[in-house]
Amino acid sequence: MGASILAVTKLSIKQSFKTCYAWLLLVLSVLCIVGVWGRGSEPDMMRQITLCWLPSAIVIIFSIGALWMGCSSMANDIEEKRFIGTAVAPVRKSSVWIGRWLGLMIASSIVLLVVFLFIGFCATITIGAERPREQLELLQTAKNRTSEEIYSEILLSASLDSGEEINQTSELRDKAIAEIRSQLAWQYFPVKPGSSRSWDFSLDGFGPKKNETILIKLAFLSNIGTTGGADGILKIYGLSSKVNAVEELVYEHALSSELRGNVLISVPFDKLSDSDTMRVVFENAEERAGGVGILVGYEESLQAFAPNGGFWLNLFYGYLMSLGILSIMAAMGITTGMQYSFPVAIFTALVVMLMFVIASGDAINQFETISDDGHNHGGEKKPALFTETIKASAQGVSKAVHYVTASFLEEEPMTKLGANQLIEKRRVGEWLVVSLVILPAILCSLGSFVLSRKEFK
Amino acid sequence: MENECIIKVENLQKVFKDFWLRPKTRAVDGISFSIKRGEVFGLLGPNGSGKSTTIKLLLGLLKPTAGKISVLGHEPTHTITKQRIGYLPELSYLYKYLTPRETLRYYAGLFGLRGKAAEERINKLIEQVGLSSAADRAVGEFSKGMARRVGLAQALLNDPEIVVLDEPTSGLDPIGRYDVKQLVKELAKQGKTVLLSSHLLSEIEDVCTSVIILSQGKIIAQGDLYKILADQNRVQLNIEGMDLSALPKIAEQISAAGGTYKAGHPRMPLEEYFLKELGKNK
Repeated sequence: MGASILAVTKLSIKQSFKTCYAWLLLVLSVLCIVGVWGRGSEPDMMRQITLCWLPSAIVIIFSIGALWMGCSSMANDIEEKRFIGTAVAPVRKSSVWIGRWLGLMIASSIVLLVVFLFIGFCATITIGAERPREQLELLQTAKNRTSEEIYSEILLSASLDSGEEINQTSELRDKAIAEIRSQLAWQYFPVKPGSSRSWDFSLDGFGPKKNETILIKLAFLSNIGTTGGADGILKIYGLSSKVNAVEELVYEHALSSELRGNVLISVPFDKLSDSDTMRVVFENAEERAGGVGILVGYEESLQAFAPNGGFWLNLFYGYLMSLGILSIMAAMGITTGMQYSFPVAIFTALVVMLMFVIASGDAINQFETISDDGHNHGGEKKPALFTETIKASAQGVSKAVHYVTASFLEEEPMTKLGANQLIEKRRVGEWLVVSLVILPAILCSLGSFVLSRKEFK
Repeated sequence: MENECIIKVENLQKVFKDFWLRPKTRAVDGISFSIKRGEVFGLLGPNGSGKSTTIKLLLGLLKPTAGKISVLGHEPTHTITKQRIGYLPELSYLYKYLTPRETLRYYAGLFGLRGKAAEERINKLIEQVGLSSAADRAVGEFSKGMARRVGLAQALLNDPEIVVLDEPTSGLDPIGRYDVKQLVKELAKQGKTVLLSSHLLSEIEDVCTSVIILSQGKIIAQGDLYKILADQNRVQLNIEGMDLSALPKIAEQISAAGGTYKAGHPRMPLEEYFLKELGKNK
């Protein structure tokens, strides 16, 4: 079995290079790089272009290529009867599938590696190989707060704004709470004038070097949802788990209401090196009567990032996650190519992949729709069984796809590369297991079964 | 051992169906035959008689609608059995971007041949089929005849017990045809079983020991080729080095015994003459 897999793999690699497929990918990548070279004068924009948009565009090209090549290599072999020579040999159909997939993956990954190395080289020249930052884990969260509590805070905040007590009917109250639950869940995080709120972040496992900084990102919104700002003080404390350790103020930063929207504060790491927890305290010093400075959005309101890992390691993680996409595309192409003639196979593969993309993007909304349905049926007329079945099926598919692609979608490797954030190693591992082992194994079984039932006229 | 049946076909049927699974063509219609070890077996018939379909059924490329097939005691789809079979399809379907050497390396890998042994076998076959000078050129540049030679080498790569040749000489020049015939005879000498399909009668006649003749998917004649073709009412004498003046005396004796005769010089087959003349020129 190993010898036959090796033979098919070698054939597939030769096919990729001798039919110019691999070279075409390289040429298209060079065109992409040349096309965006020098665009964007701001370092942030340059980083975004070089490490997010460029690799994203290249991975899309490679993915289409892998799907196309996987499909055509099998479908054309069968259609043009070249497969007969392999079919009469003592080879398992799964060996053919694995060999084809491996060959295509090896050829694509070699070219993609060259392209990623070149992108990395370009990035180090233009924007420097700054250590990527990893988001610090928020220890003390607002997740335990109920939507009723958040509603009360909003209501109180609105009452303070208007200077009079606001009474809502129970119907409006229920609707508002449902709205918070479904759309704005945990997003409002008001800090009223004169009050303060703290966030604790774990420093465990982080090793920023001396002279490096921890980045604190605040997001200000006014109480009506527009970009806002607040006068206040940001205090940073270092906490240690050591016995008798005291909370030590290590940094203080004054914030002016002129700083609006997203605000980035760099905190020197030096004094935090002995702490295992960092406490960030925001004190609202707004003096205007009835004025409110609000930090909004639980996920976005306050984040902390510390340098971790290395630039090339992060790029390598991005490369590995991209390989996962190529793997799925190649596997899908080969499987459909085993079943249909090339035009039908490529059409089927594209439709399946499109459904995959739509389902993965729509999955979260589907979850919310399901949870909303549980609350909002009320006296409304129940939908027909057919509609329910279709809806349930769509939601089922959506859930399954989201479950499969969760590690990739949540990690968003290219976005993180562009934002100089570390791609999480565990997520890379999860994605590689799904995309390089589980999904290909399922598609291999399907393709081999189809091929074993096929007649070669 | 020699009389052992290594291919046995019983009441084999193959009906091709359309998209709606309605029967469309009955390509093979209830044929039965068996092939003994060491035989050179001919499948004869006009185009569309079911020769290639029968071969594909024997190789497991098609699934029978009804009937039984046993190849080396197993079903044709049996993976290990395939190790012992070599197949040359009616047209050579090759990867255009590979050279003959790379093509043979690929198939050697599929048959589990590796390393030095594989390379030696590949070199020997390349030489045997006359492709030494073109072994490292892409197959896409080859003529039909040269591609056929690559296919032939591929069929013999695994040193098979059963060699299935579907129209082996199609696209070959007279020298190529002669070489193939010699090769088939050589394989027979080595004790290999050869299943040869052709619509060229002379090819079958020259090399086969047994035949079946197919027409519209049915067997219309089968058996030992010598017995089928022998005319029991006539006797052929090939005399060499006799004084022609003795001929009337022989004729007299034939007439006296109640027989008739025709005398003349036997004709050399055109193929033999062509090869002889070509040999002189070289």
